Amino acid sequence: MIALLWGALSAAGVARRAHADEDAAIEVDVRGDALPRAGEASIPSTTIEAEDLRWPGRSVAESLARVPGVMIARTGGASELTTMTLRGASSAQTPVYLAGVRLNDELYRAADLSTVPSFFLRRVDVYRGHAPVELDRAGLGGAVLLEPEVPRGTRAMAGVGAGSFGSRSYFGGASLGSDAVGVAFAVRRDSTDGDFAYVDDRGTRFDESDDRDVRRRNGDARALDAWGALRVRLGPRGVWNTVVNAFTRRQGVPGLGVVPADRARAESERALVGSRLAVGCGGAASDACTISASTFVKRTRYQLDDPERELPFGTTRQVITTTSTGGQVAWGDTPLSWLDVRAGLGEAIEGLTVDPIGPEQSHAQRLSLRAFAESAARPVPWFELRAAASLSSERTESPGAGDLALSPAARLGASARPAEWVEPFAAIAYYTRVPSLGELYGASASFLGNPALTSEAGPSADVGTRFRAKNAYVDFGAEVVLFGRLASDLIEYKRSAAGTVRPYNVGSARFLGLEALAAAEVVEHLELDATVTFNDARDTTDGRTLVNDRLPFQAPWVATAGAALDFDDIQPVEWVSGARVGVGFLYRSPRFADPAGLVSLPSQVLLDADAGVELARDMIAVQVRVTNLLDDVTTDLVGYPLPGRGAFAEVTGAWP
Amino acid sequence: MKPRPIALLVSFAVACDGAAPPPGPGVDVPEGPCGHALFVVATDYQSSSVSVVGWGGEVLSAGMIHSGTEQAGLSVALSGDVVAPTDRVGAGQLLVLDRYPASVATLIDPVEAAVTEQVNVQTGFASNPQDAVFARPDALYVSRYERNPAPGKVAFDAGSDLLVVTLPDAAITGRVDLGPAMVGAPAEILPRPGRMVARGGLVYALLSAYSADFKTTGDARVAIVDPEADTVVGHAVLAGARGCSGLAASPSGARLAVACSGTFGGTGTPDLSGAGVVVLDRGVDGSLVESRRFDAAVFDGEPLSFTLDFVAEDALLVSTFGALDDTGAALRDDRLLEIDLTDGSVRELLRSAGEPFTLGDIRCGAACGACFVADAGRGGVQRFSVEGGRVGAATFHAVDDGTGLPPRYLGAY
Repeated sequence: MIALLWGALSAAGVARRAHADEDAAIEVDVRGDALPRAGEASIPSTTIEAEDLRWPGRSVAESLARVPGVMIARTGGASELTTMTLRGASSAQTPVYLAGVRLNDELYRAADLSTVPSFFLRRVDVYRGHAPVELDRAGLGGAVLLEPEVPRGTRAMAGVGAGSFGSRSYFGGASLGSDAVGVAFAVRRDSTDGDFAYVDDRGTRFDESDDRDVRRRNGDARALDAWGALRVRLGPRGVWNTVVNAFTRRQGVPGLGVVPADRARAESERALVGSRLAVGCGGAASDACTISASTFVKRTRYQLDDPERELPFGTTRQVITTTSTGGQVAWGDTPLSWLDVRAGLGEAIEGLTVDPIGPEQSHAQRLSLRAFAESAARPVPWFELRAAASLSSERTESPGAGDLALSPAARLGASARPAEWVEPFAAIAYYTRVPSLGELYGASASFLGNPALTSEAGPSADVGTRFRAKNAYVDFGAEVVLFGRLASDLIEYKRSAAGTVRPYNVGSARFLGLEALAAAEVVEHLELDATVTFNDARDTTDGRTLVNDRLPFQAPWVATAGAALDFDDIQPVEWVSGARVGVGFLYRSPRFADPAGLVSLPSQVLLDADAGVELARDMIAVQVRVTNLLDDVTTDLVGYPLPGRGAFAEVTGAWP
Repeated sequence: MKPRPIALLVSFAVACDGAAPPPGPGVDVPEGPCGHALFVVATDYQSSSVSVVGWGGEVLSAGMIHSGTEQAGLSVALSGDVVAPTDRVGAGQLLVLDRYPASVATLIDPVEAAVTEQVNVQTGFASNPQDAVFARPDALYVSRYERNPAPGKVAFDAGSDLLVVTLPDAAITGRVDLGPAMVGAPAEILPRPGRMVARGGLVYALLSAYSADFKTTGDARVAIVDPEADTVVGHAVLAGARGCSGLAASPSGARLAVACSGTFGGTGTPDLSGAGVVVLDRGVDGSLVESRRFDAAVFDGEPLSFTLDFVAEDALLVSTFGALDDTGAALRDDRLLEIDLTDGSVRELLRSAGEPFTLGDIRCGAACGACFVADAGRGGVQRFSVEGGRVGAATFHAVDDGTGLPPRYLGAY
C-alpha cells in the first residue's frame, strides 16, 4: 500500500533533516500516529515503502505506476527500456536519483527504470511537481528518489525466485553492526527468457486474417545487482552513510513487435558510489545546527551490438559511456526558534562519449557549479512559510564548441495545521531543465546537436489539502491537490537537412490537473488505498497547425485502488508468524499516441494479486504474485508488445 | 481490440476529447485524360491522413483514410511514414506505402472509402518499401530499400529488390534481383531501389546506391526491368550523381529525369558535388542515354529535394531544400523552380512559407494542363496552370481534413 504523506504531529524543520536520517537509519517500526513523509508539508509527495516494493515480479516501474501523476512507458518485458513521465513532464525532464546519484544519462536525459531492481530499496520518494532544492536537477514535473537500504543490526537473508517467461532469481545479503556502526551487502541475480506471447498484426490493421500469435524473441536478459552499504554514527548528532552499487545486464534487444530483431544484443553496466555525511555543529545551545556533505562517482556503459542492422540505428555497434562525479556541502541551522535556514554549494563534472559513430563532437563534458538556499518560517506554530532558490552555472564543452549557461530555480510554499485533521498547503515555483550533452552536441549521424539550445523552463503551482482521522479502529488519511504548470522553450527535433534532424527550443505546453489519494487502515489488518488523477496536458506551441492540442501519451484519467489483509505477528501460532493477501488495480484511460490525435491507445486495466506468508518467527517468507490477472492485452507505446498475465514466487530465508 | 466487461464497468473516464474527425466520404470520379483524381498524403511523420483532390484543385474527400481509421494495436492503421507512388495507380484505386517499420502496401477503394487490400511486404525483415508500380495489369512491383540481414528463411526475402505482388489475391510471387544493374559498382554498394515508373512496357527503377551503413555511396543508377520476365534487362549509370531520390517520366515517356540531393554525410551541410538533375533520353529499345545534366551550381548551390516532374516534354519542375538556423528559424526557403530543357534557364515559381522542408511532392498532368505541389507550410496544394508547355499562374487550395496535418505527398489514380 502506498503510504500517504502528511504532516507529522509537529512540523519537521529543515535543519532537523539530519535527525530524520538518523531515525531512518535506526529503523524503528512505528505504527499508528504519524507516517513518514518525503519532504516539507507545502509540496505534495508520495512515498513507497519497502513492503510495497519487494514483491516477486514487481518492478520499480510497476510500483511507480500507482503514484498520482506518474505515467510509465514500457517497451516490453521487465528488462527492456522503461521510462516515466511525471505530471506530463517527459522522462528527460524528470530526474531520478539512486542513493542520491542521478541516473538520467547525458545522451537523451532519460532514466531507464528497468536497470534499478527493487530488492535493495527501502523507500522510493516521488516529489510530485516540486523537487527538494538540494537536488542538482529540479525537474519540471518533480523528481524521484530511490533510497537503498541502510545497515540494521545483524541479520542475513537468502532467497530464490521463479516465475513466468522463464524468470529466475537468486539473492542474498547480510548486515552486521550495532547502533554505532553497520555494514551491509547484498547481491541478486535475475534472469529471464522474456518470451511472452503477443499477437503480431503484421502491420496490417485493416486485415485480421494474417494476424498470428507469436512469442517475443531475443528478449532474454541476465542481470547482476550488487550493493554495499556502510553506516557510521558520528556522535549524538552525526551519521555517515556510504552506498556502493554495481549493476550489469546482458540482454537481447528485440525491438519492435512487427519487425523483431533476433541478433541485436546489449550490455549495460553501472557503478556508483554515493556518500552522505551529516554532523551537528555549534555548541549545545544550538543543537539544530547541521553540516551535511555528499559526494558521488558514477560510471555507466551501454554497448549495443547489431551485427545485422536489424535496429534503425544505422550501425553495427555503438558504445555510450557516461561518467559523473561531484559533491555538495550544506549548512543548516535554526537561528531563531521560528526560523530554519539551510544553504549549500555543489559541483559536478559529467562526461559523455558516443563511440564509434556520431558527429565530430562525440565527446562532451559538463561542469556544473551550484548554489542553493532555503528557509522555513513559523510565525505561529500551526503555520509554516517556506522559500527556496538555487542557481546553477553549467559549462559544457565538446571539441570545437562550448557554452556557459545559468539555470535558476525558485519556490515559495506554505502549509498550515489549524486543526489536527486538516492541513492545507500551497506552492509556486519556477524550474528549468538544461539541455543534455546529446542534445547540445549530437547523438548520432542523423540526430545532430545544437549548441545554441537554451534551458527549458516554466512556472508551476500547487494548491492542496490533507485530511486525517484516527480512532481505535480506523486510521484514515487523504490528500487532494490541484496543480498547474507552464513549460516554454521545450526542445523538439525538426528536420534540418536531408536525412538529419536537430533539436530546437520551439515548444511550449500547459498542464492542469487534479490528484486525489486516500488510504485507510482498519482494525490494524485491513489496508485500503485509492488514487484518482486527472491531467489535462496541452500543446501551446506558437504557430502549431494541428487541430488537436492534447499532448500524446498523457492519459487524462488514471485511477488505482488497492486492498490488503495484513496479519503481522500472528500469535500464538508462531510457526505461521504472518500472512498477507492483497489486490491492486490500475486503470489508465485512452490516450493519444500522436500529436494529431488520430491514434488512440486503448484504455489499460491491470489487476494484480499477491499473497505472502511468514513462517517460523519470520525466518521464512513465501510470496506469490500474479500480474495482469485479467490478461489485458495492452501497450504503452505503439509497436512494443507487453507481457500478459504472469505469476511469480519467491522464498526468502532470514536470520535471525 | 474487444472491450472487456470490467473496462466497461469501471470506465468512468472521459475518453480523449477532440476525437479524430469523421472520415471523408467515398467519391466516384470519372476517369479523364489524367486519370480520376489526385490523392494527398498529409503527415507530420507521426500520423497520416489521405484526402482526394480533383485535377481542378477541389477537395473531393478530406481524410478518407487516416492513422486512426482502425483502432491501434501493435500497429496503427497508417503510420507517420506513408508515401504515395510515383506513377499513377491503375485499377481506379488509391495506393499508399507504409514504409518503416510496417512495410505495408495499402489499396483503397475511393468509391467505398474503404481499404480493399493490405499487403505486408516484409518477408521477415523491415524492408522499407519506397514505391509501387503496376508492372502488369495483375501485378505490382514494390521497391524495397533495405537488404535482409539474414535472408533464406522466407521466400523472396533477400531485399534491396523489387518484390512482385500478384493481384487480386495480393500474393507475393517473386522478386526482381537488381544485382545485374549494379555491374561495376563496388561490392559494398547496395542497389537501394526507390522510385519507379513504367513506360513502353518496361519498368524503370531508380537505384540510390548506398552502402549498408550509408557511409559510402556509388553512382546512382536506373535499372531497366522487363515485367514479363521479372528480370533486369539493362541499366544506366549516372556517373557522379549522389543521393538520387527523385524520378519522373515525360508525358510521352521519351525522357526520364532524376533529382539528386548530394550526400549529407551525417552533418547539417550536405556535399553537393553529386547533386543536380539528370535528364535521360529513352530509346526505342527502352535503353537510356544521358542527354542533359544540371548540377547544383544551377540552383545556386542549394540541394535538390526528393521530387520532380515534367511540365511538358522540354520543361521540368524541381524544388530545392531550404535550411534552418540555430534557433530553428528559417534561414533559407525551399524553392520551386522550372527548368527549360531547351535553353537550360531556371525560373523561380514559389518559395516555402514559414519553414523550409515544407514544399513536398510535385505532380504534373500535362493532359490536364496542371501541375501540383504539396505545400505543407500553407496547409494545402499549389495548382499551377500549364500553358504552352510552361507553368503559368498558381492557385492555392487548402486541404483541410480536420486534423491540421500538413500535406506532403501527392499520388494519382
